[in-house]
This record gives sequence, C-alpha cells and structure tokens, in this order.
Amino acid sequence: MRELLPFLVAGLVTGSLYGLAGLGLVLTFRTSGVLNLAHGSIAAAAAFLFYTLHTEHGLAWPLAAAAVLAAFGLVGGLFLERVTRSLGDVPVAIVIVATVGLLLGIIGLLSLIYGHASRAFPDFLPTSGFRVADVNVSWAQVISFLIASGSALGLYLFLQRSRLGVAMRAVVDDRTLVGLTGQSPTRVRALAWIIGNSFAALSGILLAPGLGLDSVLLTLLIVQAFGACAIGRFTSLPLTFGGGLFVGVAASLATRYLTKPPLNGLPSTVPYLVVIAVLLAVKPSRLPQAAAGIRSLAAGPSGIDRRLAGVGALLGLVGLLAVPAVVGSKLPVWINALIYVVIFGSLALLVWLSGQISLCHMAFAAFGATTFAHLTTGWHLPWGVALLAAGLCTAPTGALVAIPAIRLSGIYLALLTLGFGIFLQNVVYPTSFMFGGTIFVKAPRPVFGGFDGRHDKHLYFLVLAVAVLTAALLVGIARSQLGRFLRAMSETPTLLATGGLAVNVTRMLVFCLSAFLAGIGGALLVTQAGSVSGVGFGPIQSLGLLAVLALCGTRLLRSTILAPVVLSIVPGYVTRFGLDEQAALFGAAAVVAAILIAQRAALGRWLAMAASTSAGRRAGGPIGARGREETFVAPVDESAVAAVAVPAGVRP
Amino acid sequence: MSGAGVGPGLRLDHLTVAYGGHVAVDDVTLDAPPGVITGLIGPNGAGKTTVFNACSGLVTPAAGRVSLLGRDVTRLSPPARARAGLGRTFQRVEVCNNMTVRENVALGVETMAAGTSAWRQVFPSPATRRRVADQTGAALRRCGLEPLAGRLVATLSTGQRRLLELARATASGSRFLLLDEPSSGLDEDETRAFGRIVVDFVADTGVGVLLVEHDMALVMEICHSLYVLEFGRLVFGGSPAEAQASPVVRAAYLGDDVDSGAGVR
Repeated sequence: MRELLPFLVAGLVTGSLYGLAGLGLVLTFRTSGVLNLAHGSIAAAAAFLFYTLHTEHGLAWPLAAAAVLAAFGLVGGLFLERVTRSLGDVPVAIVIVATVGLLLGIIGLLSLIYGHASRAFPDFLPTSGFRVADVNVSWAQVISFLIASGSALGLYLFLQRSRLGVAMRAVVDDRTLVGLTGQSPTRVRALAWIIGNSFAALSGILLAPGLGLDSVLLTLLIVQAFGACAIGRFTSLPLTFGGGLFVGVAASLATRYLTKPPLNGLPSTVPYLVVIAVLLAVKPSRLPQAAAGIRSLAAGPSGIDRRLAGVGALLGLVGLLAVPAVVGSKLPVWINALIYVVIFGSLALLVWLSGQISLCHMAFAAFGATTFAHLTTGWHLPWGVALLAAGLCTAPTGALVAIPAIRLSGIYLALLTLGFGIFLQNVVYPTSFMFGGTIFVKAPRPVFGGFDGRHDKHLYFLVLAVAVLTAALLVGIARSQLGRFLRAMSETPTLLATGGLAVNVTRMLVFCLSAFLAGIGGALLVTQAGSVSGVGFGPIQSLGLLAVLALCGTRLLRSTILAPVVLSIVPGYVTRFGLDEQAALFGAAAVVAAILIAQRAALGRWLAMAASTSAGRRAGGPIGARGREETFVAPVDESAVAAVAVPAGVRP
Repeated sequence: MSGAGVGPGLRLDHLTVAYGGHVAVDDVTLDAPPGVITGLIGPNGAGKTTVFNACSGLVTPAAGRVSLLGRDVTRLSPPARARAGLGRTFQRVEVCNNMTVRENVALGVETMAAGTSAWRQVFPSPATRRRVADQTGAALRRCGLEPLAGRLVATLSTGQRRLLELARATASGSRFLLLDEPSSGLDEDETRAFGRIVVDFVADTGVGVLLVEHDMALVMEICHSLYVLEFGRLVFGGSPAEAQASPVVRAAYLGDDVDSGAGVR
C-alpha cells in the first residue's frame, strides 16, 4: 500500500487539473450547447504562450499567467461565444465540424510558430518540497492542486452566491432556461465561455511542466477532461471535479501496474475507457441533449438534370483517363487523391447520408492497411484477393462502433468514436495484429500478366477503377431502398422503427459498409506507399478527414470528389503548402464552413418565420435559447413556407 | 355507420405509464375493435400520446398489457409491433423532407417488407418491389396525392403532410392504425376530406383505428365509440351520443364545445 502513495499523490494533482478542465467543458457545453472538442488545444495554446512569455522573455510567472488568462479567457472566451452563437441551431454534426476545425487550426498554428521539435517546459513552480509519510511532495504539486481546487471552489461560490451565478446554474441544469432567467443569455454564455477557457488555459499551463511542450500531446491529454465530464454525466459540476480526481488517480495507478506492451498504452486511454463505460452504462435519456443530432443533413435531389450529370461524369472520366499523359512527375499526387476518393466516400456515406458520425475513420483505414499488408507479405495472397479481404475484415470493426451508435448519436457518438480511435492507436496499433512494435507495415504493388503496378501509370488506372467503382456504389446506394432507409434514419429514426424496420440492422449495415470502403482505402494507401506507419492514421488525421469533408459541402458525391482535391491535389502542387499550413488553413476553413452552413439554415428559418407571421401564425420562443428553437421551429415553419409558396390549385 | 368487425383489435389492459415519479397513464383499459374507428379524447396533457407511444412500444409501461389482434405484444420492440400489424401517424408529423411524396409512401411498405433482414434491407425481392409499387399507388390514389407524387415533401403544406402520413400508414398493410391528432393544422374542408378518407378506408379494409383528435365535430361524426382520458385516467367509455350526454365528460373536457360543434353541423 505504501508504495502506491506517490502514485496517489501524483494522480490527485493531475486529477485536480483534469477536473478543472472538465468544469470548463461542462460549463460551456451546458450554457451554449456546444461540447468544445477544441478545449484541449486551447489549453495547449495557453501553455505555449506562457512558455514564450515566461521562459523565452523572462516575464515573472504570475504576470505571464495573468496575460495568458486574459488572452485565452477573456478574448478567446468572447470569440468562442460569438462563434458558437453564430452556429445557432444546426445539426450537431456541423457543431462537431466547427470545434474539430478549431482544434486542427490551433494545432496547425502552434506547429507553424513553434516547429515540431518537442521542447522541455521548465518547471516554473518550486520543485523543492517536503516528505509526508515517506512520500516526496513538491511545492509545485501543492500549488497546482491548490490553484485547481481553489478555482473550482471559487466557481462553486460564484454559482451559489451571485445572481448571475444562480442564473448560470439554472442554465447548466436545464439549457432551455437560458432565456427565462432574467439575465441576458448572451451575458450568461459569454461569462461561461470566459470561465471555461480560463480553466482550460490554467490546466494547460499547470500540466505542461510534466508533459513537455507538444501541442498534440497536450491537446489529447487534456481531453482527459472528457472522462471527468462523463462521470458528471455532462451535467453535474461537483461530480465532474470528483471525476477528474478519479481519472487522474486511476491513470496514475495504471502506470504503476501496466508497464508491459501492449498494455502500457492503456493508462493514457483511461479517461476514454471511462467515457466509453459511462456512455454505455448510463441511459441516453439521462444525458443532456442526447436526442439532438437526429436532424438530417442529407441534401435532397440536386436539381441537376440527370442527363447533364451523366455528361459531366463522362467528361470527368475522360479527363481522369488523360491525367497520366499530362501531369508527368505529379502522378503520385493524383493516385493519392483517387485513393482518398474511396476514404472520403466512406465517410460521406456515414455522415451525410445516414446522419451518423465517426471521428475514428483513419483507424478503419489503418485496419485495412495492416490487414492487407499481413495478407500480402505474410500470407502471399494475390493482390486483388487481399484487397477485398482487407475490406471485409475491416467491416466488423465498423460493426463494433455501430453497437454504441444504437444507443447514442450526435456528440456522444463523436466522443465515443474519438475515444475508440485513441484507444486503437495507443493499445492496438503496436500489437503484431496491426502495425507491430516497429509501427510500420509493408506491402507490395500488384503485378499480373502485362499489368505492372510498380509503374505509377499502371497503378493509376487500377486505383482509378476502384475510385470509379466506389463513386458508382455511393450513387447506387443513395438511389436504392437502402439509401432511402439511411436518409430517413438521419431525419426520423422513429418513423422507420414504427414502420417495422429493424433500424439497428440498418445502422450496423451502414457502419460496416463505411468501414469496408475505408479498409479498401487503407489497403490502397499502403500499396501506393510501399510501407506506412501508424502515425499517419492517428486521431488527428481522422479529425482532419471530417474537417476537409465538411469544407466541401454536405452533398454525398460532390464532397467525396472535391475533398481529395483539397486534401491531396492542392498541397501536391502548392509545395509551400506544408502539413502545418494545411492543418491551420483547413481547420479555420472548417470553422467558417460550419458557420456558413449554419447561417444557410438560419436564413431558411428567417424566411420561414417571416412567412409564418404573414400567415397569421405564431412560431416563437425565447430568442437565443437554442434548445427552445429546436422544439418550436421545425414542424411549423416548413409547412408555413409551403402554404405560401404552393399555388392553391395543386392542393388536393 | 357499420358495427364493429369480428375478432379482436387493439386491447389495453390496466396500462400504466410513469415518467419518473409522474404517472402519465394510470390503469387504462380499453378495447378498440377492428372495422371501426374508436376515439380517444381528453384535454391537453391527459396522456393520449403516451397511450399511443405505449401501444407502439416507444415507451415502456410500468404495468399492464397491450394486445394486438389477440396477441400479447407488450414485450415486443416497436418494429416488431409494426410487423405484427400496428401502424401509426404522429401528432408532430414524421415525414422525410428530403424525399418525394411517392418515396415517403413507399417507405411504409418497404420498412415492413425489409424488417430485420440485412439482406432484404439491401436487396428487396422482385415480389416486394411489385407489392411496393402496387400498394404505394393505391394509397396515393386513396388519399388524392397522385398529382403530388413527384413533389419534394419539404414543399408540402401541413394538410398535405397529414395526408401523406395517412397514405404511408394505410399503404403498409397494417391491420390496426393509431392516428394521433390528424386534423391539427388542417382547415375545416381539409378535416372533412381527411375524415372521409379514413371512414372509406376502414369500411373497405376492415382495419381498426384508434383516433386521438381535438376536432369534436369530426370525432362525433366518424367514431363508433369513445374513450375520455383525464389526468391519465379513463373517465368515460361509450358511444358518442352517450358522451355528449354524460355530465362527467362535459365536466372533464367537452364543456360547451359539443353544442357549438353540433351547431356547425
């Protein structure tokens, strides 16, 4: 027992910081309705700024900390309040895209400014300490813990005592009350964002000395706060702080016992295991906003004439066939783009058509890539057989994700898939089952008869064939009975269920199909590259995938075709457009795209409101209460628009 | 008005539904036979939609039994109940806005045929395709939606959406239908037209209907018998004429509405 004490102390200290970050997360989530996936990257950015001010420029640490809090708490908080407000009442997938974009943008920007080399983050608090019961406790630990729990206590007192605090507490309890508290909703939300961001910044600064200055590491680590939030059921502030302590201690104790690979990857995934456990154990109806997100994003028929679309497709195909003769040494870029058609197609099928979400899509691709590599280099299966088998073996992974999707949707499904991706990367990638200890796999290129895939030209046509087949499959699915089921599932699963359809089977199907395609895409990636490492299939890459897809609109085929252009072809030609620039730009663009999509919806709503007022109907609610608007507007407005727009003659 | 059809329809025995500590539906027993329309009325918040949700399996009752066509379906999932013959519409219309009218109606038949089979969800059999086309066409004709068949649902009026839901429910081949406030949002002419379609459909097919409705004129005209719900409890069961005469019902719900409703007629 005695030898556990140091782990317990360390766990309590980091745990209090997780709890602090978690408090900020719950506070902003419950007041604005946006679960900020970029919470961790804000903490990372705060740590970097602190590093610049304190370590590089020698500013005293309290002053540096105050400056960072002002920058991220005050300015960042108000900025985020504005951004989330302009998101308004959009389907949750778009909110997820916005916060994912923010996360990527911040990480990209940090890498641009500070480079990639991981720097040590010097201790700025005194490392000297004292001994209690044979445990060394440093003053840094004591101060960190006191700052964290002091802040939590301060928040508690503020929420208990002040008028604004009571209003905020009411809103945290039931978000729809925001318009009824007598306080300006904008003020309540702005304050919540300021506090939330300050807490994130504070925990980032205090966690960094133990971690080093690494933007991705800090971003993902503070996402431990999600574990804390899950224990508080995303609602209770005290339980969230307690949850942070629990997660910290559990992770710390896990490092004591789980030291051998592959289980040594587990401690860092403890919070996600907690998230997964809580989400699977708690009744979805007891989670806030569990029902949100079943709002369709699937666009209706494009209005483009079929013949015109056919001609366009034919011209595009001819153009693609001519590519190898034209592009010269840039051919690998085009091969890569065609492979990403398959991967983006698999994601678009899931997100745009069926209204599900996946933040672990590159993990599916990784599964396909490694399976393919094992089947070709290990088992010497023919290339085509191995490709198909790689897809088929990945499909069950999709089914694994589909099981929680039966219960959860929207933001919780997003969290769960993100956790699943991180878990796979930390624990399963290093096993021989996937990438193995060296974290990379090899696969040969296909050679049969006169076809020699070792030449890029040959490979190009092969990959083109697979991409065209994928596009055809997507169109086929969208037009088939299954496509109707999927579109209906994204809009009103209740309708399908009460119509006799086992919706769980449909959900399972679409996840399996999506994983199948992603697996094929992964296999093609390793075919082109010859060898790939697990690093390219991490959670950040999965997030980037979704951000880029969303940049290209919400139409199934158009986004599938445009996204690879953005992700592969543009960076392939604009060579100064490096990975960091991409992350920063795509991230920012995804935020803008999300806002544009939201405003498109808002514009439609405004038109509907105008029409319904002129039709003598009242459709309204407390303005600014996002939750309220959801319940009021949807059924009334569209029909009201229609009532105005439809000529009287066509009514039955 | 014809009498009730032969055999069992939808039966609730001592149904109780609680949300947390709040008992929304309290010991409700009712019998809705096939071949006729049975009304379920009551003030707002009386628990009518909760009764429907318990019937179709969307909420789990704390106690009691739901039987459909003589079969106990209390333990079945919503899709299984639908396949056992129970169809429904919703107070807040549930339609797919990004599909055409025809696709929406076809969905009702397709979901029923595909059921739990992953294979059939992806590849419907040729026989199913034919049946989908036939039943969809018949339902569109019955509800007068043929001229709108190719229209996108997002462009329909409330009345047209109500008809669309009815078309989908009647297309599916269900032996019993739950209609949840089908006339809300409709004008008087649309309501009358709606009522006629339901009456004709019931007379033609012998399907039973349980109808939740606020339009008393419509209820009095087309219902064979009536149940009145107040604060989750049944306070009356009998014919529409008896309901109009009943002081309990008047006190609970109807008030002067009946007189004015009768006056319009």
